[in-house]
Amino acid sequence: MARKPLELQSLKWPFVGLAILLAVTTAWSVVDEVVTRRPWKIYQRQFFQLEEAHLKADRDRAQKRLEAPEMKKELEALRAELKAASDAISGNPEQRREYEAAVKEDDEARVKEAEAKLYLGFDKSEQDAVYYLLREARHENKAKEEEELQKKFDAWQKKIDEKTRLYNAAIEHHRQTTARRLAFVKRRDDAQTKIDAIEKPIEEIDKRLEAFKGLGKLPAMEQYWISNLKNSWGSETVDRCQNCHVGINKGGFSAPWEVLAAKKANLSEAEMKAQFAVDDEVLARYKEVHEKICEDLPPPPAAIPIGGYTPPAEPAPVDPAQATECRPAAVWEKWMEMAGAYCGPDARWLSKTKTVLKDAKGAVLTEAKPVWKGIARDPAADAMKGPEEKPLEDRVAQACSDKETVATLEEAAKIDPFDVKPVFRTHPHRWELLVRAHVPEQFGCTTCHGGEGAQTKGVMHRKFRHGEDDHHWNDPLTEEVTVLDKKFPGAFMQAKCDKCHTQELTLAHAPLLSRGKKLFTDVGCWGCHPIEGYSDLAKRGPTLTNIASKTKPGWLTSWISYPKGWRPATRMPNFWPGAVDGNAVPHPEGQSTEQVVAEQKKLREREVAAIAAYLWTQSEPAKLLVTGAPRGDAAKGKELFESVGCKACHVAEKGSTARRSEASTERDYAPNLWNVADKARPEWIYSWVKNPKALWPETKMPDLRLTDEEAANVTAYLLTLKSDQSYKLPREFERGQEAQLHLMSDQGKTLIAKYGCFGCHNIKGFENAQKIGTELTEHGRKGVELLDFGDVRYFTEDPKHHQTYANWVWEKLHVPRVFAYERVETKMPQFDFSDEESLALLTFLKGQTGERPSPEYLAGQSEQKAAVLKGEKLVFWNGCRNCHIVERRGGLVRDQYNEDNQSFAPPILTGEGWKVQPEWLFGFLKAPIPLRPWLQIRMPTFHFPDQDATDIVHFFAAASSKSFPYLTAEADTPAGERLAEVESLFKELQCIKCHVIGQLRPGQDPGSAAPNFLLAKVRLRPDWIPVWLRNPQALLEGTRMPSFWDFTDESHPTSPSKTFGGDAKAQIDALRDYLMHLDVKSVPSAKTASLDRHKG
Amino acid sequence: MRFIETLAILVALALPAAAETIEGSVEFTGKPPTMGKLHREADPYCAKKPMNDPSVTVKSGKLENVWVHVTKGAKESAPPSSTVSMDQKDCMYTPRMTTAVVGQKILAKNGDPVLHNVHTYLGATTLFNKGMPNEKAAPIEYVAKEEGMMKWKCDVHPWMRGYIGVSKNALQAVAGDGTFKIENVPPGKYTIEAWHEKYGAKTQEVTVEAGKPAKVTFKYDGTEKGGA
Repeated sequence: MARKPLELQSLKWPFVGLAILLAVTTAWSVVDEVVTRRPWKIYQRQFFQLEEAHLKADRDRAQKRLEAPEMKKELEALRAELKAASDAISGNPEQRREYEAAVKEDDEARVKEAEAKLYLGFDKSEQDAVYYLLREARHENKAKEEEELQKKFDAWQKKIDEKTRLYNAAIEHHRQTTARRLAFVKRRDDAQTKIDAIEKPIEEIDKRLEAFKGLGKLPAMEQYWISNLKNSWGSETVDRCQNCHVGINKGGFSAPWEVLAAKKANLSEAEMKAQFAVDDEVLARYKEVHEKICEDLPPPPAAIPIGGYTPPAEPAPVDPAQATECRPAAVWEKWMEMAGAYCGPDARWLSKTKTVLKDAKGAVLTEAKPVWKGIARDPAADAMKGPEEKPLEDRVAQACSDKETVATLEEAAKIDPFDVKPVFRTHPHRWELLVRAHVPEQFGCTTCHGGEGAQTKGVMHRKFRHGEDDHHWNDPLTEEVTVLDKKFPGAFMQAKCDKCHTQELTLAHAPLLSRGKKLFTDVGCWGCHPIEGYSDLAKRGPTLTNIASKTKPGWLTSWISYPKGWRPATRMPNFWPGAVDGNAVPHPEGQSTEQVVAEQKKLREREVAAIAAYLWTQSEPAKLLVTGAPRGDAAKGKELFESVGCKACHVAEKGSTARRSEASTERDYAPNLWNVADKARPEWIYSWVKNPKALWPETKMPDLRLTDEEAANVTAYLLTLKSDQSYKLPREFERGQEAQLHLMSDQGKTLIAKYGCFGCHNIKGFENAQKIGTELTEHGRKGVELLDFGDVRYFTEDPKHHQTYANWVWEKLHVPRVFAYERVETKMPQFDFSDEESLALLTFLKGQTGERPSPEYLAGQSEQKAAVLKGEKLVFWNGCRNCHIVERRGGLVRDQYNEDNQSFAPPILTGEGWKVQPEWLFGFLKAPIPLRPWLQIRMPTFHFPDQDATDIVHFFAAASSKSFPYLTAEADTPAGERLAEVESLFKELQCIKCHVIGQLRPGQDPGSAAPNFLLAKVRLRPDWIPVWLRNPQALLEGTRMPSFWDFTDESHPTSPSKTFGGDAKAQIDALRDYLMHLDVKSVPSAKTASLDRHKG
Repeated sequence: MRFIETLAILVALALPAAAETIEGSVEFTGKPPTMGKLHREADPYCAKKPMNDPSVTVKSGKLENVWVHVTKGAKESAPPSSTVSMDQKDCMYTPRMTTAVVGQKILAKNGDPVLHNVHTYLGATTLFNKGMPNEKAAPIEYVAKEEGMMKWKCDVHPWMRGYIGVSKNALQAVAGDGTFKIENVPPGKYTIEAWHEKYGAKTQEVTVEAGKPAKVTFKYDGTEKGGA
């Protein structure tokens, strides 16, 4: 067949083919765009089904309640009442006769009142005219005229008095008629309100159900686009998490345990409704299940109670022999899921403690609890290489328990079908965290939850699992951190808080971060590691510039060699960990652990001697107050030690854990003194307890104003505190070895420079030395490629899974020298951090990203909040909470008091800024005077600089939202009758049964004594006194101050006294005025307060 | 017909009332401690009547002032309409110990011409703290809200102590003289607890069968710690 010329050939089929192809690809691209690449639509559809189902169930329940016979009856009655009430207003003339009469009467009364007012006004004008003439007559001394006019004036006054009486009566009458008229309206409105309360809920549900009619709700993309908040990659934050987590910011999809916790915390009805949107029936079901399968742990008290706090013991697990009733593992998983939803993280779960996992043959599978002490201490054993963990289903064939427990669990599963999958749940603590603090439209999601900027999937074709399976994701979206295969929920999410809450020491919802921050400050990591925000702190360790006056060389070398050997809970780290545990340092090729230890010990001996030699030869004599041991009575000293306040910070008992730091349960707040005499020279102890800051200006230890005799007694007591350890005088320190000592001291200087001892201690010759550690300001952003994992097998064998930021930091904290090898020397000493401490520090470090959000996002921007945050740091640093309960936390020393003598404990300082005058508090902080001279424990003198004292005063004022520094209220001076009346009230209430005027009454029990009234006018805020008197418990829970007035009914408070006509408010105001002007003169029997500086 | 119906109703009403008693005593097996004098001299009015500390009172081997109540197994009961009274007389609380049911009204009076403050606690939590300047002060009314030992203290006179055991059920008694009797106990299994202000709580299981009063004996030897 001859080919037609091209221009004559039909191109129909190629075109048809192409057209079909185009149609297919178009259709495919549409499907891909709308369906395949929109997996979130599936989530949204599922969520909408769930939402509709919940609404329908809500409606059914509401309908059922409405149809209950009692409800029907009630509704009928209400309708009848409404009709009657409406008829009484707008029914037929007969029905509304009474109402109309009332209206008429009210109108008349109104007119009468106006009339009375008018007539009164007329008479007043007339009197005014007479008054003018009277004044004129007086002025011109026309006596006779004046007398006449005065008579006229008085006559008018009589009339006015009568008209005033009439006017007042008219007002009262009008008030009554108005009330009668309004009673009709109120009756109708009340009935309507009651009906609405019953019928409205269903109408509301119906309104919401409207949205699901017809096509129903359609999935739609939503996003939070926040242009002024940068994500960790430095670009604008655009978050679309809510497209799958649809219920995240909607009330009604919270786990039952959260709903129950809120109910328990007495959340208001309105907030309960807004936050959880569950009706009472559902709540009752939640509660039923909760009571069946959960056991609540009592929460630790906000303030430590008298006698200390012992956490409740864990319940005993079920005896495996008793666990005869078994169910498949899948059922057990369901129980655990149920427990998670109904019990929450703070409750014991029945399914946890009462079930035993057994294999198919009935043998018990005990879950091994590995001890996470750091890895590679013994590379040969490689403790971390346990058996591959298999999924639970394969290992566990069945879950067993006793019959009763299994029955309970199965029953519980039937009661309430909580069907909200975790992905759809409402954000935990939504009300506090989202609605009130971080509105998602302003803060987005990734700001707190992390993520890799625009990246959503892992690299190397990994699945979308929020990055948790990809070790190149520095910022996985999940909130938990995995360390050495163990999961710690919440840690990394808390780390994120630090970028905005940098200045905040204690964050209620970030306990790990708070603890890490305090530990970082407390242990003194910043001494070696430069880090923004921690540069102006005082060095953590004592000054060593006059060490020779303080101690002896034998003790010094022993201490430097291994601080924990002498004082286990010290913060001072071990610089030669290999000499204690051979596995703490890398092993050179072919050496056994024993050989390593022996060699490290030799090295340690050499280096310690050199360092001690330098410190000793550079030491200058301290300015001590005495030479030799002062004569004192040890028994009296012990008594004083136990009562004057030393025990707020110190213990003197081997192994005691009673005074651990707020930052860590592993470290003492202040040294345990049980063996202090081994260390310190008598003359040093004496001078130190007299005035610590004279010997070490930056010390936290305050001055208890001990007299010479008291100091001598305490010294005598402390000198009895010694161990039986002996300390060998190093050879170089012996007589005749001075040349050798000086030679060694040069090496010592080099070593001090190497180890960075000056990071924590003042050492002569290192005044301007630079910090030796790695900068930590942006440490939390370090990718794995920037971390050297050394040649530890655990990391080199499986880098993808094991080389993570968390693992690196964890290991570094536990075994600081672990990553050293022949070419890399590491100098970080060993702090022996516990797991708890390491996790806290890891959380803190992960939060150090150097990100600085724009100011509107930073916490503590308002003057008030900034004052609170600044003050909190001072309160933490100075240990105020060791004695006082400050703003609801603290009061450690209260464990020294029992129920009967708790009135001798230091005062509670919650709301102190509301109570006292700023100026007074400033003066008190600078130079404390005894407010309660009968107390044995003393408020110490801290020698605060003016700025610190001002900041603390400002802190208290700000914490109570009160004016600073000026007072904004005054008290009148009571005089004449008012004074006499208030004096009799003062006597009647017997205030001085407890309160002191000047000093204790003869024979008064100090246990019942209350603060000195003479200080009131300089000390108390005048506006505080009435609020305090009205209800002392509201300001200071548990206070011994009773309330005399009952303000339950605010408009009619009751009073026990008849003075001031029984008017409670007038009585309280009068007492305030009386107290604010009370002085020695007005109370003849009183003498001035004992201002003995050495007491109180 | 009417008669039979009435009878049936009567029988039905009477059946659940088939109830027994739990009787018993609190024995003190150790050597009773010698109790010192109360330091009442701080207040001239109270000083007129010297008294010994009554917190541990043992008579003929029986420990007095012990609250005995059912903690498990009992149904909640409606609060009785009667009022529990706690008076302040001669600078002491009288009675020293009594009981109340959640929801029951408690009335505190001051019979002394001196200031007392009524400071009540449940555990370490203050329930209320009200001052009563003298015997003319209006009585304090309080409705027991939570179960547990409600402790009464006067901060003006620190030796004053009173105790009201509050329970959700009416199955409780005070062993005032060391013996007690709990009445109207439906047959069943119960956990019963004794509580003394110095020696704390002790529990026992008891089964009550129809037609047989149950007997319970608690024993304290004076080494126990606990209480308020």
